[in-house]
Amino acid sequence: MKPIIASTLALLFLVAPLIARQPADQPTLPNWVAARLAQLSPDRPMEYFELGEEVSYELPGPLGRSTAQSLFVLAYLLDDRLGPHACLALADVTTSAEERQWLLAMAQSMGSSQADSRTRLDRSIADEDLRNRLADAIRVLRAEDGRLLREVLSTEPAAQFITHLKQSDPVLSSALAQASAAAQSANGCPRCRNRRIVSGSGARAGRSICPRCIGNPGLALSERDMLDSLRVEAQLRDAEPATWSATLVLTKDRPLRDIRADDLARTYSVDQSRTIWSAELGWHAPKSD
Amino acid sequence: MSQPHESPLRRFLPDADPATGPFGVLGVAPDQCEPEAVLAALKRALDRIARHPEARTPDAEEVRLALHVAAAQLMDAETRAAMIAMWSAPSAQQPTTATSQSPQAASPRPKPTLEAFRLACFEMIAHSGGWNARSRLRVMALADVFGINPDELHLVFQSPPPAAPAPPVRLATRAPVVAQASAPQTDKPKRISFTTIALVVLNIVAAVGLVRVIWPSPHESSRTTKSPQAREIQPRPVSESAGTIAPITTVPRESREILAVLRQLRDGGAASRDAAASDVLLAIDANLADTWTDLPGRDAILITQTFDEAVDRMDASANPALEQLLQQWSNHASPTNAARFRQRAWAIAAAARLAQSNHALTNSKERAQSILRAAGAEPSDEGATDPRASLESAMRSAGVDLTSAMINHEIEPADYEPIWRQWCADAARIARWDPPNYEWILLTYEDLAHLEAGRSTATILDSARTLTLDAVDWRDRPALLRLLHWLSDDEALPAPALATATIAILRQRTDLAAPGELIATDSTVGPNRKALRERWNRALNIGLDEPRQRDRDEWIGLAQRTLEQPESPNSTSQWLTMTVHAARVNTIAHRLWQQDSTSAQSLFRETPWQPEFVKPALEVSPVVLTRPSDEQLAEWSQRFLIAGNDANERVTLLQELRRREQLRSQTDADVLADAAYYDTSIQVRQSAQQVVRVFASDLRVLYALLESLPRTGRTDAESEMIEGVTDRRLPPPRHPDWHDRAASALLNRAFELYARQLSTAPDQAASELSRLYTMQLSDSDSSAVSDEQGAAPDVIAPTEMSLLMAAIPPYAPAERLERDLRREATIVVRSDELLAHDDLQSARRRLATNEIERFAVAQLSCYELMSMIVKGERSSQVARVSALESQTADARRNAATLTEQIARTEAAMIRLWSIRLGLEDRL
Repeated sequence: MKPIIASTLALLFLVAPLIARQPADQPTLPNWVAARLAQLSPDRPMEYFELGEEVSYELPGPLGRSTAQSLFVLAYLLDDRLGPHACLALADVTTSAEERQWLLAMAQSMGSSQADSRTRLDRSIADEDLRNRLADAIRVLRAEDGRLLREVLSTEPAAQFITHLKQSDPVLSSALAQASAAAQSANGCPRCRNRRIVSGSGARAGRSICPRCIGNPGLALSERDMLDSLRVEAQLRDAEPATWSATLVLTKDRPLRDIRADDLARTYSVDQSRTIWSAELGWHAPKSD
Repeated sequence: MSQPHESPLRRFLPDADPATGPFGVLGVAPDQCEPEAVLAALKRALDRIARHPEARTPDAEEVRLALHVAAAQLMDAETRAAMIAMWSAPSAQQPTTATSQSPQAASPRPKPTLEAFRLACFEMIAHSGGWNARSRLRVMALADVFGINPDELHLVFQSPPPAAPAPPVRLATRAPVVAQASAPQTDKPKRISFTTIALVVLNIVAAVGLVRVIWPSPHESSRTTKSPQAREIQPRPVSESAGTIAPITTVPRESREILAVLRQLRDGGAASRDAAASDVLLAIDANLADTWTDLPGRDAILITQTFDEAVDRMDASANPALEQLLQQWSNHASPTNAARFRQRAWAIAAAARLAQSNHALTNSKERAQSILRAAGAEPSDEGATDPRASLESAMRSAGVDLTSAMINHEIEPADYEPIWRQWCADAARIARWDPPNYEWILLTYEDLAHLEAGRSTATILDSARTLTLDAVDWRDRPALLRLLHWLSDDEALPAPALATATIAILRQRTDLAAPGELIATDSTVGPNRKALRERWNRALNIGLDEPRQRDRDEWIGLAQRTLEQPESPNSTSQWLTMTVHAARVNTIAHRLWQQDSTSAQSLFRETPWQPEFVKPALEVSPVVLTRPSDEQLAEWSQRFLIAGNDANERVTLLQELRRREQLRSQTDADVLADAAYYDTSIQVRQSAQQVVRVFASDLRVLYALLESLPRTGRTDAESEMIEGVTDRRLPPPRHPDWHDRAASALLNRAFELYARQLSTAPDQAASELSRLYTMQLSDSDSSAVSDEQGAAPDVIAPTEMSLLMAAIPPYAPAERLERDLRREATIVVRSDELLAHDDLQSARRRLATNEIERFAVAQLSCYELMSMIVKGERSSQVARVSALESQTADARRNAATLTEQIARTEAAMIRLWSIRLGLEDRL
C-alpha cells in the first residue's frame, strides 16, 4: 500500500504545478474591469455600453477591444435603441477599414445621423491631394525611384495619415510601410538615373540604351506584387474600372458584407442569452448564476 | 264500343284506385285523411310522377291535375266529410276500376267512379276559370285519367246524385247550390252534347263564384303538344253559337286565373274587345306591375308571354284600350317613379318587347320606343323580345335608376334602403328561376360600381353594392366566371368594387382555402390583379387555360434544372454563368407573370448562355512592365534614342514602329510614351501620339503612358491621346485635376486590358445580365435605361475595349427594377416596413464602391422587395418565404466571393418566383 500511496502523491506533486500554472502570456482583465463586469445586469443595458466605452479607452489592446466589442453588442441586443450607438462605438474600435465602413453603414441603417460625419472625418484625415500624391509616389517607386515617396511621407499630413491607417486600414498601412522601406534605397536606375540611355566611352562611345535597365528602369516585382502595387495605387485614387473583369481583378472578388442587425452578434461571437459575467464562468446565462 | 285503355292514372300511379274517389286517387284511407296526411300523400304521388320517364307528357299533367283535384276535395272539411260518408258506404267499396274490367265488357262504370269523376269535373271546371276551351279539354283528359270512356261522359251529368248529399264545390261563401244543379237531366241514354254540359256547369260556376286553388300549371307547349290518347278523344267542335262565354268582369289575382283570363283575351274574339275586358287587362297589368316578382318563374314567363300575345291582339284589332295600356306603362316607367322599381321594370320590359315585336304595328312600336326613351332605357337588340331577358334587363335598369335617384337626393336614403333590400330580394328570386341566371345582377353591380356618390350617400351606396352581391349564389359557375372576368381586366371593374366583391364572395364561400390570399385591395391592378386571378383560379379549381399551364410546366422544369447545377462552382466565371442561367429563369417567370407567353416562349427557345472564349491578341504579363527588357528586343528603342535630336530620323523610326504588328519590348513602349509626351519636336510628338493610338490595346503602352505621365497637361493633343486610349473624358489640360484624372483613366484602362487577357467571361455575363434585367422592366423604363449614360460618366467614344463593356451596365436596369418593385410593394406591404427597407438600402449603397457591388446591392434589394410582396400576396406561404430569406442570408454570409453572393441571390429569386406563381410544391 505504501508504495502506491507514495507514487500517487508523487504523481500529484508532479501534476499539480502543471494544473496550477497559468500560461505566462495569457492576458487577464484588470480587477476593476472584472468587478464592473460582474455587476452588470440585463435590466440595465446602458451600463453595458458605458463600460464598453471605458474599457475601449482604458484598454486599447486586443483584450480590451474584444471585451468592449462584446459589451457594445450586448447593449444593443438588450436594448435595440442602443443599436446606432453600439455600431458607432464598434466602428471606433475596429482595426479593419472594411469593417468600419460596414459598421458605419449599419449605424446609418439603424437611423444614426453620425455615420456620414464619421465617414467625412475619415476622408478628411487624408485629403484627396495627399492620396493622389501618395499614388503618384507609388507609381514612380515602381520605376525604381523612391524619392517622391520619401518626400511625401516626410510631411506631417502624411505621417498623420499613416498613423490613422494603422488603426483604420492596417492592410493599406502595411502596404505603404513596405513601399516606404523599398523607397529608402530606390533612387532610380543607378546607371542611367532613369534616363534610359547612357553615354558610352571607348569602343562604345556615343549614346546607347542603358545596359542595366535596358531602357526600362523599375523594381523587379513578381506578378502578384505588381498587381498589389497597382491595387494600392487604385485604392488611393478610388479607381473604378469600367468592366466587370477589371473590377474583379482589382477587388479580388471580395464579398460584400450584408447589413443585417443580427450579424453583429455573429460577427463578434456574442450570445444573446449569455448576459451575465463572472470570473469563473465568463459570459453565461443568468439562470446559471 | 270503344276499347278501354290504360288509365293514365294507373300508368303513373299503378296502385291508385279512382273507383274510390279521391281516397283512391291519392292513396289515403278515409279514416286517415287529415289535411296533413292529404298533403303528404299528394306530395308522394307528385314525386312518383316526377320520377316517371313520361313525367313531362300531357298525360302526366292531367294526372297531376287529378291529384290536385282530389287533394282539394279532401282539404275542405265539409267536402271531406261528404266524401268520407260517400265512400265509407259498402256500395262504394267495391273495387271496380276501368283496367280491371274485361275488354269485352262494356258495362257502365261503377257509380263511385263516375261520381268521383263528376265531382272532380266540378272542381276542375271551377279551377279552370269556368267553362272554356281549357276546361273542355280538361274534362276529356280527366275522363281519361279516371278511365271514363267518352261515350260515358253523358252519364256523368245524367245520373242522379248519390244518396249522400253531393259535396259542395269548395268555396268560401256559397251554400251547396251545387247539389241542386249538379246534373243536367235527360231521358235519352245517348250522348249529350257538350253544350248541355256547359250550360249546367256554367250555372254552377256562376252561382258559386271563383275558387281559390293554385297548383302549378303545365307549360303551354305541353298543352299544345297533345298525347296520342288526347288526340284520339278530341272533343266535338263547338258551334259558334255556343260561344256564350261569361263576360270577364273580375280581375284575377292568382297566376292560374290570370293566365286563364289572358288567354281568353288573347283568343276570345269579340269578347276581348269589350270595355270590361279591356279594363280587366289594364287591371291585370297594374296588378302584375306590383306583383310579378312574386310569381314563380314558370308562371311569370308564361304570363308574360300570354300578356304579350293579348297586347298583340289588342294592337292588331286596333283596340283603343291599347293606348290606355301604353299610358299606364308610361306612367309606371317614368323616372319619377324610381322608388317603385317593380312597376318600372314591368313597364319598361313590356314596352321593350313591344318595341321589338315583329307583330306590333308601327305606331305601337314607336309609342313603345318613346316610352323607353322617356324612361331612359333604350331597348337592346338582344333578347329584347324574350320575356325573361326583358324583365331582367328592366330590373337592372330600374335598380340603377333607383340608386341614381338616391345619389341625386331624389329619394331619401332612409327610404332607399328598404326599397333596395326589396330589390335585392326580388333579384335573388328572379335569378333563381329555372335556369338560374345571375349575370344581370352582376351587370347591375358593375353599373353601381361606376356610380359616384357624394359624402352623404357614399356609405349607403357601398352598402347597396354589398347587398347586390349577396343576392348572387356564388356557387353558380357563370357567376364565378364573371368574377374571373373582373379579375382579368382592370377596366372591367374598378379596384375598390373588386375588393368589395371578393369580400362578399368569401363571406358566402367559406369553403375556399386561404381566403386571405383572395381578397383584392383598392389597388389591385395590373399584374397584381392577374396574380389574384391565378389564385382564384386555383381556389375555385377552375384551372388555367391550356397554353398558360404549358408555360408553367416548362418553367418549372427549367427552374429545376437550373437549381440542380453543380453545387460548388470554383471560379468567378462559373458563378457568373450560374447567375446568368438563374436570371434567365427569373426573367421568364416575370414574363409569365405579365401574361406575356410570347416573350416567355422566345426565352425558352434561347440556347443556354455560355461565355465565349476569346483569345487575346496579345498577352502581356505584368512582370515585364518594370523589368529590364531583352536587349535585342529593344533594338528599335536603341536606334530611336541614339537618333538624338534628329527629328526626321525619329519620325521615320516611328513610322517604322507603326508598321509593326506589335511592339517587341516594354522599352519600346516606354520610349514611345516619352516621345509622345516630351519630345521637343512637335512633329515627333504628333507622330508618336499616332503610334500610341495604334497600339492602344497593348498593356505595355498603357503602362508606359501611366508611368511617364507629366505632372500637368500641356496640349490638347496630349489630352486627346489619353482620352483616345482610355475611352474617358478628361478636363482641359490646364485644369488642376487633369493629372489625377488622367492617371485614374490610365490606371483603369490598364486593369481593363490586363483583365481582358485573363477572361472576358465576366464582361459577357454582365452584358447578358443587363439584357435580362432590362427585359423585366416596363417599356418606358427600358427606354429610360437605354438613354442612361454608360459605365462611367467620363467614358466616351466606343473603342475595341468599350465593345467589351455592357452597353448598359447591369446595375442600371437592376436599380430600375428595384424602383418598380418598390412601387409594387406599396400595395401589399406596410409603409413602415418599406421605409425601414429604404434606410437599409441607403446604408448598403454606401458600401458599394464599384459597378459590381452596385449591381449586387440593387439585386439584393429586388430580392427582398419581392419577398415582401410575395408574403403579402401569399399569406399562406409566409413561413416558407421567411425560411427562404434565412437560408439566403446564410448562403450570402458564408459566400467566399461577391460573385457567389450574386449567384446565390439570383438562385433564391427562382424559389421566390415559384411561390409567387403558385408552383412552390413542384420545386
